[in-house]
Order: sequence, then C-alpha cells, then structure tokens
Amino acid sequence: MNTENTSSQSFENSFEAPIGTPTPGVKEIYQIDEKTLGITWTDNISASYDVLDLRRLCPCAHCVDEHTGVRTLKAEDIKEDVRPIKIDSVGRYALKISFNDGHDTGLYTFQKLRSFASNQKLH
Amino acid sequence: MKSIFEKIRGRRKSSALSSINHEPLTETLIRRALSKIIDPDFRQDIVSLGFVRNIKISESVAKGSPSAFDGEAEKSFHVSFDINLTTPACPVKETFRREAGELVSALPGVKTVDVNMTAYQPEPKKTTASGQGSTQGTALSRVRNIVAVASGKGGVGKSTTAVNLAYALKQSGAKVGLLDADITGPSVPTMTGVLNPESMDGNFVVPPQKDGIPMISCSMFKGADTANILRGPMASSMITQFLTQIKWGELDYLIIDYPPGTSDIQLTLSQACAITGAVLVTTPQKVATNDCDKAAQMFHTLNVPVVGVIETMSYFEPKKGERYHIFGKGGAESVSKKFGFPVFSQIPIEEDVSTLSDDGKPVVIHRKESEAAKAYASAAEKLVRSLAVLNSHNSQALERFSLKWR
Repeated sequence: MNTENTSSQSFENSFEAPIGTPTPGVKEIYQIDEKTLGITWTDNISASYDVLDLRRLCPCAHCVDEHTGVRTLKAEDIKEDVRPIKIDSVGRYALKISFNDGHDTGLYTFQKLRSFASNQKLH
Repeated sequence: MKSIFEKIRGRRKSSALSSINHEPLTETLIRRALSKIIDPDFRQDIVSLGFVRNIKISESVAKGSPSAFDGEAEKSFHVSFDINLTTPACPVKETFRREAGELVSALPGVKTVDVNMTAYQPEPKKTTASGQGSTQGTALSRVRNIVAVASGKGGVGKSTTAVNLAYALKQSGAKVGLLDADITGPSVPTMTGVLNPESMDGNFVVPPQKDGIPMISCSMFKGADTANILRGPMASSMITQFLTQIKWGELDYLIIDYPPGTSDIQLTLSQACAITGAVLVTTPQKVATNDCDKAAQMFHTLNVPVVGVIETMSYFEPKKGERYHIFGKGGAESVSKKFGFPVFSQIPIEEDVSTLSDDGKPVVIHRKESEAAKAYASAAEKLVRSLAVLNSHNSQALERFSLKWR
C-alpha cells in the first residue's frame, strides 16, 4: 500500500503527461514560407516554427551537454541563412531535421515541439 | 431545412405503419434491422460505423406459398450484404454474422440471407505529408499494425509469447508476419522450426514462411550456432535494415519480438518505424515487474501506446483447482494498476509450452486444449480489440513522412 503510493509519485515526477495519454501526432506538416515550418497536430492545433530557432534549439548531444543539460551551442554560431534540407518522421514521437549546415543529429520530440511553437492556434 | 424536417417526419410515419402494413423490403429497412447490432469495442451500432455495405435485394416468386391461392403470389426475397470489419481477426465476427442473419431473416418476405464477412476497404495508408513529401520505408507500407512484444527483463517468455500471439492471430484469419529482433539471442527459428532460407528480390529480402507466416530472424543471416557480438551502431544498422529492406507484403499484423531491456536496439526499433502498440511481458516476480515498469516508461517516452501486459509463468496447476504460484502472485496486476493498461492474460506453467517451443511447435496450435493455449488465444483476441480501438483514435495521424524543404 505504501509502496504503491511512492511509486505513483515517482512516476508523476518522471513524466510530463501521465502514461496512457499519448502526445497528439502530426496531422499535416508543411512549409509556410522559406523559413517557417507549419504543423497541424491531430488535436487540430496549428503551430508555426522559425527554422533558425529550431536549429538554435537543437536538442542533440553535440549541442546540449548530455550530463548537465547545459546548451553548448551558441546562438551566434548558427548563420541566419540556415535552412532544412528535409524533415523526416522518427517513429511516433519525433522529427529529424537535416539542416544545410550539415547538422542532422537533432531529434525534435512532438512533446517539445508543442511546447516551443512560436505561434499556435486552434482551428 | 424545412424539407429535411418533413422528410424525417415522413419516414417516421412510414416506419410506424410498417408494423401493420408490410413495408416493402428496402435497404433502409435492412439497415434499420442491422442497427440493432452493437460493436462492443466501438460502442456503436454496425450501421453507423459504416460496416454494412453492398446490400442487394433480389426478388423471387415463391411457389406454393399460402397466398398463392389468392391468385397473386407473395413476393419473397433473397438478401445479401457485406459486413466490413476493421480486422479479419475480429473476435466477434461469428456473433455478428449470426445476429445479422437472424435479424434480416425476421424481416417480412425475406427467404434467404447471405452475410459476407469482409475486412477493410482498400484504403491506402496515410504516409505522405500533404502532398509535399514522399513515402518512406515502403517495405512496411502495406503493414497495418506493428506490434512490439517487449519486456524489461530477459527470460520471461517474450519470444514464446510473440510466437504464440502470431500463430493465434493467424488462426483467427489475419495475415501475420513475425520479426525476431533479438540480435544476440534469436529464438524464433527454434520455436517455429522455420528452415527455408530467405531469398532476394532486388534489394529486398523475401522472408521465408512457416505455417503461412513470413518470418525473419537475424539468425538467418549469421549461423544460429555462432554468437552475434555486435556493438551498438552495427546492431542498430542491422535492425534498420530489417525494417526497411524486407518484403513483408500485405500484413494485418507484424509482431516484433524485442530484445529484452531498454537500450540501443529497442530505441532504434521504435524510431525506424511507427509502432502501433506494445505488449509487455512479465513474470509475477518483482525483479521482472520492476524492469517491466522501465519498458513501460520507455514506450511512453517514445509515444508508443502500451496496449496490455501478459503475465507468463503465472502458476502451476498439476491437478484441477490446485494452483502453485511458484514465482509469486500479482506481478502483471501491479504493473497494470500503476500505468492503467489491462492484463491481457495469465499464462500457466505447462511442460508443453516449453518442450513444444523447443521442437518448433507453438502450443497455441499444437495443444489447443491446454490452459496455456487458451490464455494465449484470449490475449491475442484482446490485442486485436485494443488495436482496433487505438486505430480509430489515431486515424488522422501521419505515420511516416518526409518533407523536402524548397
């Protein structure tokens, strides 16, 4: 009884959403203009993303220290004209963006993408 | 607006009359009768769900019917229609068929009824991004459900479960494939006795079949007797090849037997394709359920829904009613309570489960009457039902896409 309590607490700490409530998926993905990516999620929320912001927020181990979580990539190191080459789905949970500066190791999870959209609206 | 209203009212009137005057047999009448059948999983009637299709009414003059004395022969009809289900493995298929037959036969004038059970409309799976993208991973494009059978701990009977689930699904009428992704400890070939080597079709590997189930195991590529010692990147590229270069063809279910644990290969598997749902396998022991929790958390992170948990080695019952819980009790239940997914089945310890497995004869078809076989069959049934419900929620999501930037 006691053990059950502690375990449910630790599970709450380790996740943003409870297990069993999957993050909405991608309903549509499209290019809005030369530097804006658009995603409509399955819960009909549309979001747009500045591709330069996405590159600067790259979550991969080259850009963020794996152990401390501190960002090692400096915003000024990324040129203004960076653009994606292509964007692929990864499983059910993330996007892989290959950028034209040769960087393609970042996996952008749906959960993160939903939290850092520059502009979101419900249809 | 008004005219629609009138139409509805008009229809109401005629239906009220139908009990007195025989309403002419129409598609509407047949649909109305069939709408009494409720799908237990979708909790809606099969007509609203769009399952009833292709209604055909053909008229025949009955000879020797009583009203023939009146000079005009009473019309009798032959009715046929399809009930199109979401999966050929639907466990309530036969109930639907029987109920539909009975309901339509009871309509006035109906002499014979043909109920055709079908599954799916040929609807291409959504894989492109709003016309801009191209399809990816075409090897899996005709696979409708990809099921991960996983556990945190090794030796809990994961492969036995994967094999028996595959055979149980196959038996219920579905097209099933089996992928043994346990690179360092492949057991599917032993458990199924698959012998034929794979062949090539261009860049694609054509999987060998056993009992109508295409199967791939990494042991087919390296001798089963030699150990595969692989570092992470090599193992991952082998797995990616498994998923992208194997010609699975059309499948209702592809069962993937995961290697135990939550590391590189499990991650790669869940990244390289869109897993529809995961089934967790555990024994009742705490050492197994603790690791099972970890697997549940991994799937949560990867946004793969866990549809249920199967408990193996649950009990030993040498005599009816005399149960020994050798590995303890309530393991799957504790995982289930914690995360909220159901326990699909508890598989008892039976000698046949392991000895037949070693002989390549899955218990679910070679000892159908055993408790273990029944438990596996029931787990497969629950799996089918949860996947059908899951798919109805997921129907709007793109599964695999690639967007080229312009």
